[in-house]
Amino acid sequence: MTRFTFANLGDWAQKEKRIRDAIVAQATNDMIVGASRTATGVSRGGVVKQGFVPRMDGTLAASLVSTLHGSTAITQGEGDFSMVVGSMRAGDRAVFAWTAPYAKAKNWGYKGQQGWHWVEEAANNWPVTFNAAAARARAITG
Amino acid sequence: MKKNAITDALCGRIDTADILPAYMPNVKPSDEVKAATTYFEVTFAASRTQRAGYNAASVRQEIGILQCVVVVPDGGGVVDAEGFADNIETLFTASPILKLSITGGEIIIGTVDIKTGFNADGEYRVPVHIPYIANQT
Repeated sequence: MTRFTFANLGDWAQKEKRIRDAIVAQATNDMIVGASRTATGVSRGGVVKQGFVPRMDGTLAASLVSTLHGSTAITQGEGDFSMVVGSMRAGDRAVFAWTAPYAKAKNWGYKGQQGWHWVEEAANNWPVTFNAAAARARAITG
Repeated sequence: MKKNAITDALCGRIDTADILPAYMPNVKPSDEVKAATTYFEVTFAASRTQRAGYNAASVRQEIGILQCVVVVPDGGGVVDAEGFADNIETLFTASPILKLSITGGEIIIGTVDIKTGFNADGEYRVPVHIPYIANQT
């Protein structure tokens, strides 16, 4: 068991900071993994599955762009967000965006076509995702 | 607190405001709605339910996002569409916070988010997101 004294305050604070950073990175990773799940698009015989990215030829799924601190896109591609997630620290601001021209229409819906809402589903589940990552960190670090 | 009461309170608020004809979730559109070229399209973008504890009797909470898309014909500018989006924002905003009473609970409305509009299939669409938390009382 770690015993806290003023002598090891610095080490203790650093350890806490590293744990916080790890939770943020893990939770962000899990959220984007969840948001990136694909399902067969309607034009290929699928049905609208709320919370999934529709896949027709893969262009939409592959248009995911990740940035950190408002930088220009540092990663692009389906499932390619590890550089951003791996560089994240608690308090950082990252942006994940699907940039295909029809991404908004697919996510929010358009004439006669229900939205797939994968962005809203992921955002709405963020507290659950974050708590799960925190619980895992707690279990690992004791 | 029933799911149906939450849906009724949120969708009903748009319906009774009578701003524009509106497509509602799984409601067969009337002739008026079908004929409209400027209208609302209301759906639930996301929702999840949680309890304050593990016990089935513990307080239940639903957290979600109601989406109301303002639809206008393509090529007519953004003023009308954004004006209707502002109307929806006003409808779901109160000072300091909007609370809607329902049977067995209360819905708290968060900050309404008007998204950037986009063109699709001959229409211009401005999504308005209304985040809410329904608490069992």
